[in-house]
Amino acid sequence: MTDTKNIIYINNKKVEVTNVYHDITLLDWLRNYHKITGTKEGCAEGDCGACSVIINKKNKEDTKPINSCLVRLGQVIGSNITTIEGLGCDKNPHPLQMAFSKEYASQCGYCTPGFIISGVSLINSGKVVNNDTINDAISGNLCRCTGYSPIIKAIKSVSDRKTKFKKVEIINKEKKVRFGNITYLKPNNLKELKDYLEVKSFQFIAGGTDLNLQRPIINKKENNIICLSSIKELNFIKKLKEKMVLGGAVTIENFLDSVRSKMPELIEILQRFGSPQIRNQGTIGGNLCTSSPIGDLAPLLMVLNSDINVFGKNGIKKTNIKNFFKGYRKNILKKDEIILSIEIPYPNKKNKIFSWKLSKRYDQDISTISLAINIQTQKNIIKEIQMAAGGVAATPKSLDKLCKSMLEKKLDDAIDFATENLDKFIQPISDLRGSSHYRLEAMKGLFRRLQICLRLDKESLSIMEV
Amino acid sequence: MNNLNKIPIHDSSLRHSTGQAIYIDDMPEQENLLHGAPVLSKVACGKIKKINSDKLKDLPFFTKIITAKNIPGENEIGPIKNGEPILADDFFSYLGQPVAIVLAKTHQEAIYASSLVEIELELTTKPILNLDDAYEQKSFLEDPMILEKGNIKKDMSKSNFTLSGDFEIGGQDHFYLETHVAITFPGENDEYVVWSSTQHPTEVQHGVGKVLNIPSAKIDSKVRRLGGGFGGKESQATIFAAMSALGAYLTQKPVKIRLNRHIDMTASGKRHDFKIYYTVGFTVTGKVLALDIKLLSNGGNVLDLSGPVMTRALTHLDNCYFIKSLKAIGYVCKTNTVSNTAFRGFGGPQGMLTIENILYSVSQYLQKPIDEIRKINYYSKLNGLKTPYGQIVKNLKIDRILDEVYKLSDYKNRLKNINKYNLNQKANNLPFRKGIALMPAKFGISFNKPSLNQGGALVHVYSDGSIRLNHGGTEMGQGLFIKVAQVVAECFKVPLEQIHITSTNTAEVPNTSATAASSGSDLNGMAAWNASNVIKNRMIEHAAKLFKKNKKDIVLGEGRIICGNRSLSFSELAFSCWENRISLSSTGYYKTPKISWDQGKLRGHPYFYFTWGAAISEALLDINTGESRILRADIVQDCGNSLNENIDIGQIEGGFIQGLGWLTCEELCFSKEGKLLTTGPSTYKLPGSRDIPQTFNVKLLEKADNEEKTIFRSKAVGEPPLLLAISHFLALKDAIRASSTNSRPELLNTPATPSEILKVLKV
Repeated sequence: MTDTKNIIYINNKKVEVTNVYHDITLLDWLRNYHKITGTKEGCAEGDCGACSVIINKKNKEDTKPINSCLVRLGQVIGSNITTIEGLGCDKNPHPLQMAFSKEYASQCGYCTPGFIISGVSLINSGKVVNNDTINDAISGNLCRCTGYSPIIKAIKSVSDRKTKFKKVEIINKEKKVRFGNITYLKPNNLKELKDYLEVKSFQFIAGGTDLNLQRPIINKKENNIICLSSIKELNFIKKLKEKMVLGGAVTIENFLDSVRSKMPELIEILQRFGSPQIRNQGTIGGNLCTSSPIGDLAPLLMVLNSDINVFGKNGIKKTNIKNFFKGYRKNILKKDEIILSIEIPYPNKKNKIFSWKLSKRYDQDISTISLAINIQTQKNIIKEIQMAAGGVAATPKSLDKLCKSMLEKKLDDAIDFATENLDKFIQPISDLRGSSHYRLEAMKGLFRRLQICLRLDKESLSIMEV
Repeated sequence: MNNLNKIPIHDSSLRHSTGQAIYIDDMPEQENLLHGAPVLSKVACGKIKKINSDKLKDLPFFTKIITAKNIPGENEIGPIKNGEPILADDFFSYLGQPVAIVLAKTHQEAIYASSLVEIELELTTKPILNLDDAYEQKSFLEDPMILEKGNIKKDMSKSNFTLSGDFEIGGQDHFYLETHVAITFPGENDEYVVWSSTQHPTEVQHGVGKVLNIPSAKIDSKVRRLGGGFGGKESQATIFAAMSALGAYLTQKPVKIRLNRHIDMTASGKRHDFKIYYTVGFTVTGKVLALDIKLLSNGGNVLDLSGPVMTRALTHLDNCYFIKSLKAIGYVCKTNTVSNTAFRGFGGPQGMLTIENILYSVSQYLQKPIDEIRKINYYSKLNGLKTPYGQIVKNLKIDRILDEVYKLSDYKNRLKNINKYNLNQKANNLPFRKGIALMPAKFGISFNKPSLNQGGALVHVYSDGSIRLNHGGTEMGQGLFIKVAQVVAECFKVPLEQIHITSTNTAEVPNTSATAASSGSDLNGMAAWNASNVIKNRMIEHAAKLFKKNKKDIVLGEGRIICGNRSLSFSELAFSCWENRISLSSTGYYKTPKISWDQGKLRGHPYFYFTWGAAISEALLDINTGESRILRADIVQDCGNSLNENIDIGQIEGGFIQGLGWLTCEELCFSKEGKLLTTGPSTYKLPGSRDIPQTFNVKLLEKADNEEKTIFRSKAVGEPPLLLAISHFLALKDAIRASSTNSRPELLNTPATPSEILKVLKV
């Protein structure tokens, strides 16, 4: 066993990872191996936030919350984890812990530690603390008792009380970690990655926010998990003149931060991508590789005509994102290929970009359908149009044929045509997120929304803005 | 109540915030603890031929399988009727029903091993998966319940108009953040200590006793706190507690059962979904003369609490309205889905939504605002005060509440503005519509079954003056423990900090009722008051002796016992009592007076009193996409003389938002085979923080002492606020009505998801 030197810091205390014989989550390790029980399991699928902890990977003072139920222990070796216990105790509480208590922000109390982790992360982020940023910060936390008002109030009441986190020096250099039948391999660069690709059986993992949901409870066979997160060539954001290039392991949250100035049209859809906990862990490459029919990012990247650079044993190849998806959760990647980077051209200034998502709940929900549009009109005539939709086929779908038939038409006529003939272009199925009928009707509704937005020169038209 | 003139916070709040509050799964584990995981059936009904656990033998770790055949006592935990096994024996009757338990040394190993067990089965009948099929096949769990009043035939024919319709009311998962969990520790001489996340420790004690064939006296059932209950842990907790006890019995080791979310949602009951068929007769002004109605509720595979849930639905059908002639038949349908159970409101919300939907349809038919229809139908001296089940509505507070809620919400102005807004949206071909609506509410307080309306407490004063409080209620976040502690502190006139709150434990207070029906503080508060008073009187008597004065000359205040210009501290007196051999411990008992109920005839005086409340909500709708949200809510709730205003406001806000979830985004989806598809928060969406109204005003009715003699004249608060969310559902209907004349708001079922809304919108 090589695991004797594997270190994780819990609340600044150095802990050796020993005697772990199954491939477990960080949450299980905290609760069951160390009886650090303030962190709770509410759903084990990254949706309730009761398991939230703060992770600090690079000796930085950043305080990013993640779902400890959705990250495997092997992924976080060498990190500093702050749990609710690390913030304070009843004899010496953190200001936000005190505020929750005073504001009646806990009832049953089970979700409370997770909310406090999210709240502390927001306060420390340097963002303005207001209703909107609070709602975003706690969009990955569910409370069933309070109805949220006192929670929001509590966070607001200590919005200036930043927490000082100690810097810990993380010395862990181990690139191999083994738990039972599972070996984690952590290449730091592509060269090391290439070497690892020689092992017999392996699986890639980036953030793991989707993959870890389907994680086997117990692994009967030997397997290697190659972690892509620390590969330096996958972790960059370049804002070039014509386009933005992002490494495949860039987290969604960092993506969101980077588009604020250059492509504000992307903010809304990225803001509604999971929750802060998910966005801090999930990556752009991972989101595309899961190739879900919903594909939060995919429709937008499609209408922006993005390219994907694929890295494999034989070098790098470029492909347009429209050619990337091959079927239900299938894509063109071979077993030993990864997404190196994504190139997103800046939209033409004459064009308008829209990206809409419909779901049962506004925040932290998977789309029933989504629609991205890149359009240019001149004197009410459509000069350029690209549309792509999620949730209407086995893959995210570029609506090329429909767009072609709308081109050079008057906007109103084109929309009429699209709504009248939509079922010829998409045949969505019924599932628990919505019926086939709803998907068609709502898509028509989004076309009408487009019509209004263009008519009134509005960037969006959402009930959240009223 | 003036205890120290401040409103105390929840006793555990700081420990909640620091992660130091201990829930069952946080308790230290003994080295030899085993974890259990249930094996669930994979089809909706059939006969078990064999449970094949061969694959467990190949595992490199310890496992043990337990089936119904291993049960030493009865395989039976039905809270009302028999026929409710903890493990399916020969037959199983819903997809997801536990048929075996696998034990292992870790949770992970137990879950994994449970997935390897195969159930060989024989398919028998076709499963019944919806209410109409159950009704057609007369698949019922109980005889139909009939609530009848007046002369329905006569009044229907006297009506100017009659209107018939039907609608569906969806179910709801409790989604307590803490899933079901229990640990049983075996002791000597057949003693068992069961810790479980239950609202009803006594039922756990009974269930475990039955399953193990061990008398209640040997079983201690305990719980310090629940991570949420909402009714979901009233009867259901017993199933999983009994599983852990069975494991502990068979292995003589501590056994923990903790359900993961998917199993919890699959294998535990939910709010009953209902289908309603009605014919209503009314006059030109909208006065309802006759209502002929059929309520189908989905009881699931076994009865559980479905009978009383239907009773409450029937006895809340009237809401605030006098209905001259009524015939309501409640059918508790037996289907091959998980047995539905208690959920905050317990059928009340479904009954009240029913009458509101009907009045809405009447208002639509007559092209009048619903409030006009309501106005002429409210209980009043003029209309009548007798409910369909015979209880007279006393102390009407409708007018007062309505006055306040209209004022609080600035209703008249906003209604005008909303109409303008809608006209403007229409004129400019824009997609948003708004609606605004009121929901008035009367809610009956007491368990319908009189025998359940009793509470007990045990109070000890120690010789250092500290006070240990125990009672039969459970703490699930509602703040019961702090409220009862306030009562005791007030009785002894000591600082609240002097009261030590302890875990609910059947060994300390026996034969308790479930903490349910909003009755927690009414029953346990009064019991604790009674216990404290017994001790207080003994102490005063002793103090009088010490001071050589009359008892009436002794006054308690601020932790001291005062007699003229002399005084003793509470702890000095406690010590002196001990020295003088005076008992400082007492039980306290309380039973709700004045109540009676004939379940056969559905007649009597089931409710000690009513609580009143009203909400006005404003809804926003996007007619292009069916998306909607609530913009504002104003609530006035009658909590009597509130024991703790801030705790009560928390109950009101939280209950209201939970109601919003039930009516809008929380959708239970089943496959054609009867498999629940929404088994986690990724697919089952409860409200998030952005789903609450931006403007949310909650006010307690002032100077509203309970006319009945409740603890400090307070009123119950747990359930009633949930159904005030119906105001939002009605506001949505209004917004749909404003979208176009072709739209059919009366057909809107719950939950009003975007998909459901687009179905009735005709743009």
